[in-house]
Amino acid sequence: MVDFRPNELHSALFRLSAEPGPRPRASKALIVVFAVALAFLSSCADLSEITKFASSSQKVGDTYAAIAAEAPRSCARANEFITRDNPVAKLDCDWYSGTNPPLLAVNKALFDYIAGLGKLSSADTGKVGSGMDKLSDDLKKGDPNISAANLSKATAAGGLVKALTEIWASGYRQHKLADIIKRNNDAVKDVTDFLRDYATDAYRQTLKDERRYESSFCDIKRSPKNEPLATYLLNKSCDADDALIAQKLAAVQAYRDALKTIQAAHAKLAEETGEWNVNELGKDFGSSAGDLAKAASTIHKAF
Amino acid sequence: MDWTPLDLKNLAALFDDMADALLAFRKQNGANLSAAAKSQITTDFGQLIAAGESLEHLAVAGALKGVDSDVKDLQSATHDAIAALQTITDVQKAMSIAVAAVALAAAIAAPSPGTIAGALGVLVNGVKDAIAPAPDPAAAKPKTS
Repeated sequence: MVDFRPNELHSALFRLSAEPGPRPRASKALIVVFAVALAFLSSCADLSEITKFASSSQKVGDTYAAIAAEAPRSCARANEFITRDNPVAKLDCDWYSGTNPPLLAVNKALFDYIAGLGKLSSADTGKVGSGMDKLSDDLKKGDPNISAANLSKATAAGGLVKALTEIWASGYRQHKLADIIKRNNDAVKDVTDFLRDYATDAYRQTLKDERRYESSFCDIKRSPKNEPLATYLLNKSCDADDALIAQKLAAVQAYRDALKTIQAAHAKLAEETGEWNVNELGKDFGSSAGDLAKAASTIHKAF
Repeated sequence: MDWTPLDLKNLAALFDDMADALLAFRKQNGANLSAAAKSQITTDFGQLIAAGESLEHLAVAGALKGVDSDVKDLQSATHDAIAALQTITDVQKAMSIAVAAVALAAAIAAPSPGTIAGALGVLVNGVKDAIAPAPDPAAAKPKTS
């Protein structure tokens, strides 16, 4: 969030204008610069919505490792259903040990990038020029007899430096964010597409294969020749496993949907760089952040 | 002929659908199938699934190569964002010196030994802060997944 305090600028202006005696030319110049600074201030966007969005995205991104780790386990479980009665082909689970690391790296690159945007959008520019806050105290400490007029002049001049620095920092932050987002929108699109359509789809496929291998196994074992108690217990176990896999599949789907939300939100920011509006951003990202939080919760429950 | 990752994925989906159809057929007609026929269908079902998985893996490997440059772009953009944060910190340091210099100028305008000494102290502190070693860059790194 932009950390300007317009009230401080107003009070500095008030101090200058309330100074007794003929107003020096420098003070008039200060008033003009303050007025310009205030006008500029009102044109700066509130970036807190980007911060919230980045934070919600990060929560989803953090769940990827759990999904990735589950895939080879799911593959190994699928192979456990290979029996003489259920002669399905053995699945290649070793594939994940070679492929998961680069997939994790791709996911990390995306969410590091989003975290970088979040940090830049939330940088506390209020601290910029904060040394000015102590100026009045320091001067008084140096000379307890310093006149109120001199103290006021020094404080007002220092306040101007501080205000301009804060404005610069905010404008710079917004400019950098807009530039980075615009330049990288295609990369975000490609990477989210890859993670959704290929990486997480491979995980989904493996979970689905486990489900089908077990379904085939359960179907074969449900022979009328088996005793009823054994059939009852088998059905119970098969149904419980099926429900568990369904929950995991839903979680993977939630991750894939979240990637779509992230892609759409980033595209919206890229389209409107330089024209970010607090209300519009709030409206757009409010629901996106909710969707992402829901996705993160679904994934946490399943894995 | 070179298969694109999308071609491979589409082919994998076809195998996947065939495997589903075969399993459904075996389940629906289990009572009328001989043990040998059931076994053969189950074997074919497994072969289709394994083939679908292999095609899916090839598709992922191909697509992974395709996003390599995008990943590099995002890594570079992450560094840009961190560098921008560092720039703000650097300006903060520079401005603390400027602010101290403003105080010194004000003190010189209304000279008294105490005021000048105090303002000089502020300036010295500002310079000291500015040349202090930068904080651990790891602290500015984005959270990793």
